[in-house]
Amino acid sequence: MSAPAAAPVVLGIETSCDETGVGIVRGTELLANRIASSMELHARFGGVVPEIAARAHLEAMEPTIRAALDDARLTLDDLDAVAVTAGPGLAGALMVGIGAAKGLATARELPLYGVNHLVGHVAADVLSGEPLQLPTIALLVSGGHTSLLLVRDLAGDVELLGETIDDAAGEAFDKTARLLGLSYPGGPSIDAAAVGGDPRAIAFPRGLTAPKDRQKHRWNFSFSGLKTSVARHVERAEAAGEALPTADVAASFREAVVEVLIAKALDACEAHGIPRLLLGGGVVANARLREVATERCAAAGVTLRIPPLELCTDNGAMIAAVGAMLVARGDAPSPAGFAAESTLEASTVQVTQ
Amino acid sequence: MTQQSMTQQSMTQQAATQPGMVLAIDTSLGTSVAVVDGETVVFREQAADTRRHAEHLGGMLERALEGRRERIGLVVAGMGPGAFTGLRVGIAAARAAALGLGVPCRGVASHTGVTSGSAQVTTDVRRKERAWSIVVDGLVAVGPHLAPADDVPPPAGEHRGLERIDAEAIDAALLALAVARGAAEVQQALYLREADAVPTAGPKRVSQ
Repeated sequence: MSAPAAAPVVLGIETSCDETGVGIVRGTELLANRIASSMELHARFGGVVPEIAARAHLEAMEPTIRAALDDARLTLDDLDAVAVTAGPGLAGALMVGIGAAKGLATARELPLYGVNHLVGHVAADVLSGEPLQLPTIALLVSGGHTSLLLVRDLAGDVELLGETIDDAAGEAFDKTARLLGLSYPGGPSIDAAAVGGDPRAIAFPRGLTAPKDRQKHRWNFSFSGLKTSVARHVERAEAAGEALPTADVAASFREAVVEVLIAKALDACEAHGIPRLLLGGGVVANARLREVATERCAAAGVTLRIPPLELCTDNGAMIAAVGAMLVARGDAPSPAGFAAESTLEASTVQVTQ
Repeated sequence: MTQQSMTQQSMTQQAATQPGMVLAIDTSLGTSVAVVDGETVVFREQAADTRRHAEHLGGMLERALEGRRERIGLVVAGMGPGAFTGLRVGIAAARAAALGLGVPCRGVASHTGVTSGSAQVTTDVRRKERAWSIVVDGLVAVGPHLAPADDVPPPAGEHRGLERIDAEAIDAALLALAVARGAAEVQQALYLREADAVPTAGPKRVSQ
């Protein structure tokens, strides 16, 4: 499908974590989506090291912009605007993207939009070729975020229902992988280790699902207790001199994470009378998460939307999509002095000061 | 793509001979943006603030480029040393601005932006350390190196007795002028320290 000829061509820059993403869209049409990841540089540390990520962004930025333009078969003359992730994310990493975006936009005299990373994950779905149905509940799960959003209007009405109060879900996978002696990133290695394992073998805790948590933490998440519980399990087996049933531990851990995520998301759908759930974030790559989401949504009569994986992980195209939406609405660009906001609230789609 | 494949020599020649203006950006201490036309500084703004580089830079770049976009022939980036997070903002902006203007970007040591004369230049790089260079006629001859803030080695050998300047600011205009005088190209940020990170020694015990 193609957007009207007048749809704005926007280049989006994303550097909130360890992926240098540059994407180009024309309205809701995806033209390029280039990603340079520094993931392998973080492997021996078991998680993203902010300084290493920021250094990698600086070196990857210009080649990634050039590659995205080549992919889209466009030149800088074709751009109508630039969008960049203003937050939330790692401050030092965000600043590389913002510095580059300000340099590029000012040189080209293009309007620059500093936009919200989380809203970008939701906006990614508009690039999948089918119109995004609103309102929707959105569950964003990655190494840095675990957020449940109520999206009534992408450009102006996004409400954070809940988020993790400690580790992000992806972080829980990474840390648990380390406990089990598995490689980084934890998602794929736990998936591999869980093959043949019994997801009901060990009753790991489901964080913030007790009746007493319903009042204050109905849609919040907690995964640090789960990780500690796995650690105890590993240590107990070691102390007893028993072989660790790694497949069972991995499968049971993963089931605990996935069940909490989907149960809370569907509870939010029901409570708000919204029969739509959108998934986003790198943890969507987890096959078991997609499987359980598909089953439970079908059973609950909820329509499930999962954008293509390359649009679920952090990317510049989703940021460009938010920018294109703001341009199309005639919104003013962000002021020249806008800053990186590492804790930017989901309700702030665009930074305006 | 042409500017990327250009050799260092031809870029130097271009910098020295092309009648274009030079846009220079440095965020290694505060934020400094300048435009130099030949030997004449036609725009210069500085913010002493050693934080908020990304914020200051936006407006400064707009004012620097206003009415001059077509006349810029080169962008110069101060490559440090400096506090990492701020330093990167200026380098990222300089490279992207050069891409946007369709001109080359050339990195130089930020210490060339302290004096056009000769001195031992030192700058704060946090963590109770200073970076120092021996600058001769506005070009870095030795360094940059790191030293404890209270134990910077005095200039030795042929540089013995050179004045020491503990710089509080970098002047981007001096960076642009240094390039015209043939300052060495610096392609990567001068961090002088490895990224802070220690490989994990293994999980901590949680059982009592």
